[in-house]
Amino acid sequence: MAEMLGRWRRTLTVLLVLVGFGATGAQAQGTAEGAEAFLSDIGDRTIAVLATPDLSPEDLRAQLEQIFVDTFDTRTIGRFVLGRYWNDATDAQREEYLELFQALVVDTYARRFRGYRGEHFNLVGTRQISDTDYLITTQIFRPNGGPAVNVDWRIRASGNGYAVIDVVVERVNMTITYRNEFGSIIQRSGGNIEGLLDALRNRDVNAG
Amino acid sequence: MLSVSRVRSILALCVVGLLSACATDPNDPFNDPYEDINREIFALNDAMDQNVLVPVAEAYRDTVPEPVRQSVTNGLRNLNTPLIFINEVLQGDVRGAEVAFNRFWINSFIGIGGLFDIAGMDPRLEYRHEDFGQTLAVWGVEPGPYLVLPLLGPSNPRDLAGIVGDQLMDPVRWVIQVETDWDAFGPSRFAATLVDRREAALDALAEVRASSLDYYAAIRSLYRQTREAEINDSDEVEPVDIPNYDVLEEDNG
Repeated sequence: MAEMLGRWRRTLTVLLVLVGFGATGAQAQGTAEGAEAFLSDIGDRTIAVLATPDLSPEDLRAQLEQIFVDTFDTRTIGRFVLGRYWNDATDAQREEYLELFQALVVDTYARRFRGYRGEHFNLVGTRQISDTDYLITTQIFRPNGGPAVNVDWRIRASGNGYAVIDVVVERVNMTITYRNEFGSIIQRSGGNIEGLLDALRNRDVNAG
Repeated sequence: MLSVSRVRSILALCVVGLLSACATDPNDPFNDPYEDINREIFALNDAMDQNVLVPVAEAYRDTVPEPVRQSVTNGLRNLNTPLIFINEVLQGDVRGAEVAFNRFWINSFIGIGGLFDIAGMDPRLEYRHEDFGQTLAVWGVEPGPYLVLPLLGPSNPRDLAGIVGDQLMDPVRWVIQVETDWDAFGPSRFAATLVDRREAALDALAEVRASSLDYYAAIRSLYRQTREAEINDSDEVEPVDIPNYDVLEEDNG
């Protein structure tokens, strides 16, 4: 009796292991090394743009936008940021929102990089957090010293390769911050997404 | 402008918030039932910040060299370390208490009264901020509704109670201010901390102020996220649940 139970348990373990492997094998995409190489490439491309001498602010913005479009999954980020309001939005509203959201993020990064003075980043470590997602921890060092800034990049693998879906700066989530901010704007407009679209359309592009 | 009666009602609200069980309203994802008043105080604080504090912090940055400013930061942190030690003990964080203890003695003696962060050169002894608001959180106290305090800025009943608790517990304050009757110590330390912290946040806050569509909502989110990270003490980022929309849609369709 005991022997039979023991055999059963072994068979069950083998089965579970097989099923477990099968499940991850079917869904797992990408590797930690692949994600790291992808992030390094974004860094190299960005620094190459920033190091271009005599680049006008317009050209800088255009080049950064290209990198952003190539490497960030704006659709996933934008949809997560909009939360439940995504479902209420019409297709036209969704498309306009994604376009305006992308412009906002690109402007924000372009302005941040305008003051670039030779910062560089070091890879600290990579953690796989789901079948498709990797969290890469980096530290950004400023040339004039001072404490390093901790930045975590969440990179998702899919059939189309890798894409950034979240950036966490000093434990503050980019997506959560946008989600809270946009949610507040929509809530204050009586739950209407048009309130957010208006705010995005009318924002001061040259602010700061 | 904010009238006296308004301020009084706000203070009353704060007290009510402190005393109440701090229940969370599921219909209010931002946990901000006093948003209208909070926004008014926030606007006043922002005006003060932009017109007084930011110019002072900028002048401080422009006139005082970086190594000196770093020593000011170190010194203020060192004065705060006995209080951090107490909070680590109250949180039952033995390792954290040990770090605070070692930091204080090493930096006070070898770091010349705390002006040099000698201990922090060892990554295991890096500075970590703790306060009684965090201790209350570790004890399971809910934050309660979001509050913007006049001058002090973003808070909640738990963190407000934390500020009061820290004032009462701080050994440095007892030894220097109460024992020696040096009344100016507390206010000077507060002012120095304010300028020191504001200088450190100059670029980041200017960035948020410029790029946010709703500065108030952005700061509210940043405050909550930062506090949660401080409370959790974890070096690892907690990933949020970002769904795989494409896969979901394929499954549904």
